[in-house]
Amino acid sequence: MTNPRIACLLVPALALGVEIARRPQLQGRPVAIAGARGQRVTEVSEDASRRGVRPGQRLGEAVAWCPGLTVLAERPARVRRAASRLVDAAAAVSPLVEEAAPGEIYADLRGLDDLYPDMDALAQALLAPAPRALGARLGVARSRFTARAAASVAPPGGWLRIADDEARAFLAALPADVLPLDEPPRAWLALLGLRTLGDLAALPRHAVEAQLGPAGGRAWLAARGEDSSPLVPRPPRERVRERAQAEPPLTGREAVLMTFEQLLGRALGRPGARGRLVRAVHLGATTGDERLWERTRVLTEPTGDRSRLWTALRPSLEAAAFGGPVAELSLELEGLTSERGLQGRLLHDLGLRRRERLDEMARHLQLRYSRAALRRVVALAPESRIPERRYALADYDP
Amino acid sequence: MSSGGELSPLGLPRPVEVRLGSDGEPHSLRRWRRRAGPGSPLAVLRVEEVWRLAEEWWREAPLRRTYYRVMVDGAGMLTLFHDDAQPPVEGWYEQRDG
Repeated sequence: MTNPRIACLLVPALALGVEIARRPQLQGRPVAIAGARGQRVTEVSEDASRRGVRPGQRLGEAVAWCPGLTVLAERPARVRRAASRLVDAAAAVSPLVEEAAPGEIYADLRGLDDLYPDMDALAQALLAPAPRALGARLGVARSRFTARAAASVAPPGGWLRIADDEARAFLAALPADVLPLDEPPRAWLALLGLRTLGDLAALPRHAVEAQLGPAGGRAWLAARGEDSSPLVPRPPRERVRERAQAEPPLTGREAVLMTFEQLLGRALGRPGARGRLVRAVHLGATTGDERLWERTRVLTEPTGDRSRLWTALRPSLEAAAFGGPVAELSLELEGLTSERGLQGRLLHDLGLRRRERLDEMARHLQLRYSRAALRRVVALAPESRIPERRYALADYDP
Repeated sequence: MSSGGELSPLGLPRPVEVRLGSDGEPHSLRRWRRRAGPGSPLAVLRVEEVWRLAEEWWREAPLRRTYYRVMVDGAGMLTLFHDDAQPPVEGWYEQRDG
């Protein structure tokens, strides 16, 4: 198992699979999932697809193509739970897991050789926790793009491994649509008649980069099975979470507000939050029919004061449209700081204060956007004779 | 913007289209505009300096470049290089200082 190193666990239509898992009688029938606003189709079953139903169609058009179509509303809470279970199952096998999208999970397989007798055992360990109705499939390859492509052609419940020396030939016949490109470069590929990855891989790299920039260069490498983009596991974030279930579901806004305020008090009382300041609060509400409402409130200044936190959260809750009676409420405190207060200084050090403010702003932005928002110039090899090796941009991580 | 702690090199070279003279040196060049094709040709007035670079010999594809410091009509002094692993009419780049 030393050759391939990345596995992609793929559920092509997660929302559809979740509903079919709950209603097995829908298996083999034309079914479509309508988006959150109920106006357009987001996912379709194979039977529906054969009858001309496509994602993006309006519901009227979809039913016109397939009069016997069963249309189901998307249930975001159910989809979120199913996606989380898939991630947890993959994390039980590999310590390095990335959820690129709900139902698209990458796992680093390095170092697992001694834990599983062969590749088949490892593949089954990743596939087995997924309910059969989800139609999960697995691809294994050296690069993440090739692993994803392998997963997309593997049969439901099955897996496909692509060795290094097979990658280019395997990818050559695949449609260029599978490349991770925005619409304008995708349209450029179609305009030039580049239908397959093999067509793109056959072009000189610098010609592709000249037209599409660095994204084109990355796409060219991916088409040749040389995609070197690493897994990006979400860093563990310390959080304090409180939940409450309401039976019967809450219909009055005051009752919802009161429950959230209680959750806030309980969360602040937890040992993990005592004596610490909070940078962000994540609120969640699930209705009786599993619609999901979520808000993350990032504070301009961290605080541990309950009344200040409630003052910041209340307007979001008062304006919230939950979509129905609320059956489950959750509140998470995020970005917990280590210090309790802000220590004053006897002597002013302007440079140090500026640096502290910059660090605080960087942490604020990082929490808000879930990634580093500031970058800095680092010297890699200033004396290198190759200019592009001298300096680089790196994430500013306070 | 990249994510996940990746380093983004500064000063990446930019592909250009170069026409060679009979002496094998750059005669004119065209810069590429994104999704708009090549720009107007710029004449190379003179070649100030030529040097070669051979680095990273330990890699499967060592880096071998021939650099040209050229004075270009309408663009001033530029640094071009040819990736010697590619054919003479391809693999031309404009080097930007990193």
